[in-house]
Amino acid sequence: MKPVLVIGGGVAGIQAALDLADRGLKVHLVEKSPSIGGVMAQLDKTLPTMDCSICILAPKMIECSRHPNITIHTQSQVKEVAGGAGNFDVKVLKEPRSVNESKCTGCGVCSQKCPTKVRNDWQEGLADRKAIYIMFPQAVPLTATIDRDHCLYFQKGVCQVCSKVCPSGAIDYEQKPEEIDLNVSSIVVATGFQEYDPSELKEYGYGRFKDVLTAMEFERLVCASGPTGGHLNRPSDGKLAQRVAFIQCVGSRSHKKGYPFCSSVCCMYATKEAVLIKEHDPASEVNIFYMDLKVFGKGFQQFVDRAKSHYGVVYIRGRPGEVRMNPVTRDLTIWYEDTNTGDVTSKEADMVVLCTTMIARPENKELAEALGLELDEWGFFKPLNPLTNPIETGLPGVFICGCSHGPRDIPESVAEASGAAACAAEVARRFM
Amino acid sequence: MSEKPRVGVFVCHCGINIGGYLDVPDVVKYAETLPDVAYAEANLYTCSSDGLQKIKEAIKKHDLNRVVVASCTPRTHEPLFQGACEEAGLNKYVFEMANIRDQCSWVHMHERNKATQKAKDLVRMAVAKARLLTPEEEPEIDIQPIGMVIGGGVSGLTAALSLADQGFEVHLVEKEDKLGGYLNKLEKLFPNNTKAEDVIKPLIQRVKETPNITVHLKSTVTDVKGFVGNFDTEITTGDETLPLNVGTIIVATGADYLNPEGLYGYGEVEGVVTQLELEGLIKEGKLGKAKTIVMIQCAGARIEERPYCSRICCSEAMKNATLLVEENTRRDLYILYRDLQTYGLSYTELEWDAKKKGVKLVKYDIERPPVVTKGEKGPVVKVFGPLLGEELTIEADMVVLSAPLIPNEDNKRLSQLLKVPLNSDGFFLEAHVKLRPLDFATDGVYVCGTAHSPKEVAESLAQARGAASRAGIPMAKGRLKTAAITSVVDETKCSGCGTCIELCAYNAITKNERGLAQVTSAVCKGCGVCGASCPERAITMRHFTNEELEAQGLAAIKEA
Amino acid sequence: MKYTLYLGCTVQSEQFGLEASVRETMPRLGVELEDMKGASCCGFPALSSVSKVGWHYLSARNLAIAEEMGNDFLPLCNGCHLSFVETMHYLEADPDLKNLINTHLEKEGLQYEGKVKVVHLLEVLHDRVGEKKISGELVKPLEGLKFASHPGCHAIRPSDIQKVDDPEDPRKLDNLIKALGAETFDYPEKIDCCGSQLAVASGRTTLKIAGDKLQAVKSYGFDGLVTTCPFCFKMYDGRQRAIKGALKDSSLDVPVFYYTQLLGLALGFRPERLGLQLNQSPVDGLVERIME
Repeated sequence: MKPVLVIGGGVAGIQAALDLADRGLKVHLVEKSPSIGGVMAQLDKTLPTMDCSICILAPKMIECSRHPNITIHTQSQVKEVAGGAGNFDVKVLKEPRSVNESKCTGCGVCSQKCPTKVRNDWQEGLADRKAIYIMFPQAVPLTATIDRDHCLYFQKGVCQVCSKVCPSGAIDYEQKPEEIDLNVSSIVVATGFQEYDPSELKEYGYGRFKDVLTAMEFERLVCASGPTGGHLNRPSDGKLAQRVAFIQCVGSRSHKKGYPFCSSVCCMYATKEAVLIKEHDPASEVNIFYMDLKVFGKGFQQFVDRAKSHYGVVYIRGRPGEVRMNPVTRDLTIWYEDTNTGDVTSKEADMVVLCTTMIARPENKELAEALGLELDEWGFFKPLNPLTNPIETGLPGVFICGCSHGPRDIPESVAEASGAAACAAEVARRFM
Repeated sequence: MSEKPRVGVFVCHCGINIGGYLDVPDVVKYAETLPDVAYAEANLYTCSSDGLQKIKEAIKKHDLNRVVVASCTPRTHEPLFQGACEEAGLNKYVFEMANIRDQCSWVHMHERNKATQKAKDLVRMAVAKARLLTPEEEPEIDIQPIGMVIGGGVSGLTAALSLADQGFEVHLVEKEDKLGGYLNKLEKLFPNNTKAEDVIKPLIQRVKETPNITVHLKSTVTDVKGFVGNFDTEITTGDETLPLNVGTIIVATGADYLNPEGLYGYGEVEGVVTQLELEGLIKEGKLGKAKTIVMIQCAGARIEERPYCSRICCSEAMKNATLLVEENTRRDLYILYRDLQTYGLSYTELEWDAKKKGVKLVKYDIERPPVVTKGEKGPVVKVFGPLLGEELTIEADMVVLSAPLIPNEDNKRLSQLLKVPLNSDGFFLEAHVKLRPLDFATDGVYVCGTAHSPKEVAESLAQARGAASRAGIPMAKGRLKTAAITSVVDETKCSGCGTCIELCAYNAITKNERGLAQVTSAVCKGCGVCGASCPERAITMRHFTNEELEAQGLAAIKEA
Repeated sequence: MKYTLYLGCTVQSEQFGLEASVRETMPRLGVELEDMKGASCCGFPALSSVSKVGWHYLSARNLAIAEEMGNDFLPLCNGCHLSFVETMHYLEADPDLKNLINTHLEKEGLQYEGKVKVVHLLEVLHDRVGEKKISGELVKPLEGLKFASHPGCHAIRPSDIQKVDDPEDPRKLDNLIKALGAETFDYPEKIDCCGSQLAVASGRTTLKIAGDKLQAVKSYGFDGLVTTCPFCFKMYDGRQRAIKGALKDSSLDVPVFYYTQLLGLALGFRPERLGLQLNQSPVDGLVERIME
């Protein structure tokens, strides 16, 4: 039987790949960044069990790398697709790491010695990385990559320290982009989402006030593997943030700015993050400013009840109008209306977390064109029928799962990924 | 391979990750002094192809029959080193790892001497255990390529079809006299107002036409024995029982709808119905002159006796309210809600649409719920709206209660039969909330649809296919090899108390014909709870025997 | 660069400091000002509150005169500026109203066509003259001084009509202050209203609103407050004594300037030429410091 192509190496892509591989099908797992893992690898804990996110994800990532039926292609993107169900011809372009994958042991010496610092996107800009780097400690593959846009050698023809210190001789500046041709029976799209950029909502001060963070930035800050070792030292002055405010629906449920839809998961992840803060410091003050509390998932209402009664997290129904910053103390003031009482008032905070909407990735456009798929008005992949065929697309043999077709949480993404795997397996059998 | 243990110890520098923080050569020297250690060496990167080669060479050259690698974490690297041992002709279960990175160098970065000492301790412990390790065989079981799906609603039908499309035989067991479940009672489905019958009828038709799906109507599962790959089940149809041997079981039994007797005048005041009944009325065209309609959300949900949210009611209310208003624009629709659960792309659309069409949304708080009384012309609803700051009195023609989905009555019985747990709300409890939402801890049994928790049709469909994927995996493999780390019962010591059977989360232990505990190795996950709890110390774990653990423990407290 | 200068009522009748400092400094920056003949009140705030047609008529006739003169149109007052911008917006959206207005304007021999470009002083200085030019002309850079920027409401709201600067994060006045060599920084109350329009309804509340802002400005360590709007200036400067009384804060004493006054000082002009002797807030100390 022909192999199956899974596009996207986040938790959904990983699940789909494992399901397919476990049943004996060969899988090509194509991932754009240097490592699989996706957003889930960046999270601190997952609700409602408060498991360490990477701890439960890493074994699955390792399983992918060790599975005899799975070939992982990182630094890779699908560029062209031709054919149909049972017989897709796919052209994948692999960007060069400038590091020989089979020689690199992931020791990290190259990063240590590299003189160039670059914004670390994986740490959401809260820390730096080097021009040669390993994406994160549990990266799969655990291989270094050179960011050619910032590497001194590629930009100015100097340095090359990494090749001098690499004990395995794995550096290869001559590495070229590689074109990989694949012939597969079906395709699973699991490209995930990205966070809405709240800069356009100037009233919240994101970008102006250093201590106004997005949810992903907060996850990195509170995570033990983050820039402060998990201590809530706020970015502006390092002061320990003991009063934190969460603002929900940032970029969602609005026809004015952002998107009109509800991002599904933010009320719950805000609750989780609030509980994390309280666990770090029971004396802290946490307020969540919400519109409607979305508690529709299994165990969610109970999680919120616990957050309120056991941890003392306060929920205020009201969409704040403005966040202001005192230039001397750097403390933040949130102006809001408590809609339940009608009071217009303010609350002080050391840090504000904007719970931003999950939006479609811009790469979806290019991928949709290559595949011949339709995107909806928000840039998400469109299912064949949102009611009866939620994981099939308009093209037989091409399936979608996870956040590639809209905001949803991890359990749903994982269930859908298995669903997509079943669909792909059916196709594989049909065209055996 | 000689009888006496000959342990090889390989201490890894791991670049600077270990070597930079403790004295690796010193640890190697120490290892050489340990009992039964025939050879010890240091590697820069034991996991590199170079390092693995060295292990294999050393095994051959020094006639090693036990291997200890002191390096990083077995989570990521144990299979790699085990593979190297196997390639050199050793059984993989004579391999042991000491984690001197995550558990040592990484957490004691500024205490070189103490870290070195700790590394020595860890190596000593590993060697103490390794000396006692014995080769193990991994059990294999056959998997019957036949799946059972319990429940013939939209989830069950979809799961059955998917399994059949994957090439397996399927037995679909349905307790009613017809297939279709709740969708038979619904009119239109959100988000795109497709008629429920247009969804369910084609599925039923396809199932009937699929040769390898056998449908058992008016039937229930009355017995389940065995384990993954070989479930010996019994289904009862009327008076007859039929034994069925299946490889996997998917629970798709759905949920029931709450009868909100006593809530908001239901059963007492005329004109108070549930959303489900409303669907029926719409279907039969019996709405009549109802003009003012008040829908009450969370009617029996998100309260103390039933804390969960039923997920679909807000979207359903929006859909029904919009339909009613579109049908007759003079209608006055109110939705009294606590938190609107319209989420995601399509369901939020429902909310915007309803608002645009003039449906009035009135928030209420749980502390001051609406009160429904009998008025002159119909039910009267009084509700305090905190956003309005005042109490509304609505003379309605009809009050519709958005009551929650509740666990199926039969869940308890079925959960005991299948030995799978229920959560505190009474729905089936999956193996792991995040990463294994469709599996049970018990191998071979899966769940999907509203049996798992309230959800809409689209989500049930995706889950049903997901469950079919999960169930298809062992059946596609045909054979399942399981780890050898399983528990063993010493029958001479077992008193038949049954403690281990109670505690086993995977239902791997049963009472045999002698009334003594018997472990099904294939299903045992090696968690060790049985071994730890046996009052007679009759249970030991392969690869973690009592002797091995004792040796390791004693080695830990010994001075280096 | 040539602009038709529109003074408006408040500037002409009492806010001489703004007019003086504008007329003094603009030529040095290459800006030529042409005065209007036959200018009238813009209609804001009194007439705009009671008669839509009356308001737009008054505004439109000034715009019609400006159209004839041909230059871009520069009203000095925030209030006037918004009044003109809004009139243009509403007449564009409502052709019937536009026709009605033109029917009245015909009697004066005027016609409004909506072709004139209305600019704000901030736009002239920031977008057209530019910070670089200003910095290049400095004679007495205002080093070591910190000024709080107060752009004023009518320069930035309502955001779908008024486009001079960002409604939530206006930067132009801040940049212009920095161009003078002085320091400025964001403070929470920056876009808070001065409260002057409220004076008609509640005098005490107005004083409190303005006073709260002055107290805040002082608490952040600013040396003074800068604005371009005569209403705001009147509030913070002219009524500071009353504010002090209302707040019972006798030590409030916040120096308040028109931007063009500080600009003039930095360009080396003498304080009397900039109308600084007319400022009622305690500016003398700072002026002396700058002139040293």
